[in-house]
Amino acid sequence: MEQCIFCQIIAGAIPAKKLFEDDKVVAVLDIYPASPGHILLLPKTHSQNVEELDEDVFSHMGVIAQRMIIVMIANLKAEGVSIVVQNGGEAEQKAPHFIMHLIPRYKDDKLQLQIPRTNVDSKELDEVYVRLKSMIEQTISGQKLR
Amino acid sequence: MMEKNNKKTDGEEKTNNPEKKIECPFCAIVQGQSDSIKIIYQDKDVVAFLYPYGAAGHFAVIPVKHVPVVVKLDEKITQKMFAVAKKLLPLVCNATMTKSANIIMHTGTDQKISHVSLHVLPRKTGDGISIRWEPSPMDETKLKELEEKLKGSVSKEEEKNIKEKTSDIKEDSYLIKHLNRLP
Repeated sequence: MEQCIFCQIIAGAIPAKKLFEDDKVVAVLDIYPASPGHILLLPKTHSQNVEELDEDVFSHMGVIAQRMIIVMIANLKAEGVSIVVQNGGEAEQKAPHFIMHLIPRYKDDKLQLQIPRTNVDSKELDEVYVRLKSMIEQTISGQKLR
Repeated sequence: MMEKNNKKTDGEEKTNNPEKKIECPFCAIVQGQSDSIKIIYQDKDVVAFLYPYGAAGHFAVIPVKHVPVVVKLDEKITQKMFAVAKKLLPLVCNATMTKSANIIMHTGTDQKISHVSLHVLPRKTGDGISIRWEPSPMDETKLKELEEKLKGSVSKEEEKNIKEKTSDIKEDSYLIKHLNRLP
């Protein structure tokens, strides 16, 4: 997509600090980081969300993320790294292009990236499971659930 | 429930006693020992289950094998974990009537249980959950410095992985074993 800023970064039309590139993905430094060394992992083919992405590309992004995490922990003196995807408006996705954020975590960084530990109502959970069970058994071969 | 178990796990890991079985809450799920946990996907390498915290439909994909952090995971398993998360995400969004989700994996910081887990959290307007950050601009000198530290290292990491894997193959190969047996 021509007007997508991330596609322009991938194409090299907008200068960026590219850290890694292969046939499927590009990794660049975020110039507006959550913490120093924040990396944006981008699929080369324009996709807005995970649903539009090829499964191959998404799982490849996971592998590249893993390799980058090794490098980030070794070279940035980070205590950890958080992989975060905001997929869809309700998850506060702002960008028009799918982004896997790799956020280095430092001591006392005060970043709030935790999933809340609030309990899910067990009745609601049961209802979701019942709906999900048949969908999964129909969609994913070989899955027979309890 | 899980957190309590986790604390116990940490304590036991510190005793460093190989005789004692490590009680990892995720390993218990893999082994089918957690009756209340609803498993939504299972194969020989990975398990996905509904996580009873955060929001209805929150699920985690974990490796069957106990691996504490993603950096130690076999890349084939990482690949599979992400593929399974992608397969399940639209189904879970459908079942929870949501259109958005966070995909999260914490390594080290904020990682509660020392067994790798990839989370998908369905999101709704007004759900009170906030997974966001304030982007702050960074000056060019600092960015250059970070670029130097990180650039090219991933390819090196790749080379290292390939070397490690090929050296494994060498040790296991029939020919080498055969040669070792020669007087």
